[in-house]
Amino acid sequence: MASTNLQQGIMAIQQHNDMAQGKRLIKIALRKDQLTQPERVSALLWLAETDTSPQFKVEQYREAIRLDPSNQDVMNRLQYWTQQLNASSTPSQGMSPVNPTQDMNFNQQGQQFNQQPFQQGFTPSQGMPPVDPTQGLNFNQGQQNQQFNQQQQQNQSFNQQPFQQGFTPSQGMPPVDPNQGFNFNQGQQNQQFNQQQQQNQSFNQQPFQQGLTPSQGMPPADPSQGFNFNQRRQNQQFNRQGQNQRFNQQQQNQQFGAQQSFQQGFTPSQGMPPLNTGLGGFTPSQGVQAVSNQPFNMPQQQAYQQQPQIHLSQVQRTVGIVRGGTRTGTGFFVSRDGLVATTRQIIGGEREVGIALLDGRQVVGTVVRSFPEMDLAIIQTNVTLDHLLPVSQASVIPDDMPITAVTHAGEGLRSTKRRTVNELAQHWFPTLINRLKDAGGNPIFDVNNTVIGMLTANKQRSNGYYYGLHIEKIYQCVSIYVHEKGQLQGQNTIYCHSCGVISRAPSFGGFFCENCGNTHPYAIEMSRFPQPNLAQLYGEASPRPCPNCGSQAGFYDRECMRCGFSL
Amino acid sequence: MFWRQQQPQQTNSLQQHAITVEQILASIGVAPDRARMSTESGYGWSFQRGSALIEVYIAEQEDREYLQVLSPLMYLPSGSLLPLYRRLLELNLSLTNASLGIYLDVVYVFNERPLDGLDASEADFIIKQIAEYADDLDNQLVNEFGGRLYGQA
Repeated sequence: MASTNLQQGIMAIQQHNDMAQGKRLIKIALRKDQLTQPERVSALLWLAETDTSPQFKVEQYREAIRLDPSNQDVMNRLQYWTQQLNASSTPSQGMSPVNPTQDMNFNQQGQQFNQQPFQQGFTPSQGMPPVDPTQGLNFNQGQQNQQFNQQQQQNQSFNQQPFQQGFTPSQGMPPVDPNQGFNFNQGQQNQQFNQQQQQNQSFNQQPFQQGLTPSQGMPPADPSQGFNFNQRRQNQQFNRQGQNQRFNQQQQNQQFGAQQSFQQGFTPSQGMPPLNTGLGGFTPSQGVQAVSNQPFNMPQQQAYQQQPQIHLSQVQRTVGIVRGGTRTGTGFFVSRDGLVATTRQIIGGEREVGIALLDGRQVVGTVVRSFPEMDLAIIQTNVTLDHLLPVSQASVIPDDMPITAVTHAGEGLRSTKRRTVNELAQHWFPTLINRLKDAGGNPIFDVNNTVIGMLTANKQRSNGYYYGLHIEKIYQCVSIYVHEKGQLQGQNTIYCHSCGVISRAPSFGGFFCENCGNTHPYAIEMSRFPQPNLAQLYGEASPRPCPNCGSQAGFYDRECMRCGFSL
Repeated sequence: MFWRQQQPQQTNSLQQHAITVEQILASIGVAPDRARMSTESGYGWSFQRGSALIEVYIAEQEDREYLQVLSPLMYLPSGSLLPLYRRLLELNLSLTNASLGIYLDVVYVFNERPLDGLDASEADFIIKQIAEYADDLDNQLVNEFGGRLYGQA
């Protein structure tokens, strides 16, 4: 009940901008004992937003810091607003008034890239937006800038990248459990630590100006300003990293919702409004509240994008797929902009894996799509190539044709295409390979040294011979992914690690993948509730009732969702 | 309840087991005469345990008598069926000695075991466990997926 009050209060603030109602409901929630401590901290942060009085804000932040003394974000807020409070009493010590133009200038100079998406679209009068209390958005970094040297700041900023994924009231409520976003990314943070350190070094060499002021924390008055500014700043960032224009576009086109979602811990129905409801042939006409003109879906960097771009001018025959620090399989590039194909079996439910290049370097790859029925996974890396492996144009592989599967370790498995009397789907071809050198995903070459397919870990149960996946099918799947990516451009999407599709549920505030019903990571820890307005997304607003039970619950694979009647 | 095939007649053995079950129910504080239900075959009892409605059935299947303890949780909601089904399967994996299932649009948590060797303490344990699962899951599922709690208007 207390959580419900809290949610309703936040909704009142977020969706209706009704500060009085929000304040009332949050106060009701705070009076109850059922709220957990993190919820209480979140509630206090939101409560602080309902009043413009610095005194009031300071009181709430003090209470929050009393509950969670280690919360750096609350600490920063308290520090900021205490200074504001002092400034209002002693103007000479105060900070300069918030001027949107100044904000832009300051922000341009700043280096807190990951705050970009969060600085958009709020009203300055609301002050600093609540963020995930565990994530430590440093709104007061400007003040720190005055105290610390520039390089220290840069390092801090970059090291905090994964942790700084807070959100603003326009984007979503603070998580009921402030640990949500943090937990999701802990593993990823560890994995990326080395790369981030490298980044830090490279960024430290960049002579850009420091000197943020606390007014940075205040958003631009006009959301569109924030958007343009952030876009530009993003480009600047990428230019600094030596990325080309095409990759900037790519970055925009990626499924940024994924990281955004689980790093923020918001309640989707409140925080994930559809940006473009017309795309993808689906219009959630039944009540999902769209927040127009809000650059909510500003892409955040995926793990692979947080690394310096690598350009390979020579043919990269294989890459190693590394999970959990150990090399588990092989893959190979299927596009010049860094898409890697490997087997879904290697990837499993991972969203990020290590990609080992032939020169020994290792980069982070983000799984962007998988096709479990083909045992194929597609991984995006921050690598560009001049050349791809030459691909066989033959759509049929003759029986007994000599083939060679190559592992990333450099071993070759020489064999032939096995004869079979069994009818197989055309994209599978049997081999006489009965022992893998790794977990699969090896490119298979013909005698002309062109790729004819990929070795998978699927084998004939009766004789143990492994199957290959035809290269034509692999490229078809890559095309499907590229097409989907284009179709979903601008929408807040997430890769569903369960079924491998790109789910649009985040765009509409859905908790579950519309394809498999799996709970998306961002929604795991939050209080989920029925969303009848998303029936269309989940294919349940069937205009045609089931001929057997009359239910309009919809059909899955042409079978009634309620009674299983097959159409 | 979910017997695979209905048995037309009750055997003497089943009657003996019914008596045993009633003794067990009495030993755990349930009045058997008030809990009795009429069933097409076998015997059934229904009683409240905490907030959960518990139904106990015994019947013979393929020459073996079984005890079935179940608790209806909720009616299926009108939407979100795919996520709900998935959740039920995921929960199934996490339940000990109990399963979730759907019968005639009602979600049940149930336990089934052969009657041989059943004693009062084990029956009590099964009933308590099902009641606890029911208590935990019914509101959780309704809050998340909608639908209506079983027995609620």
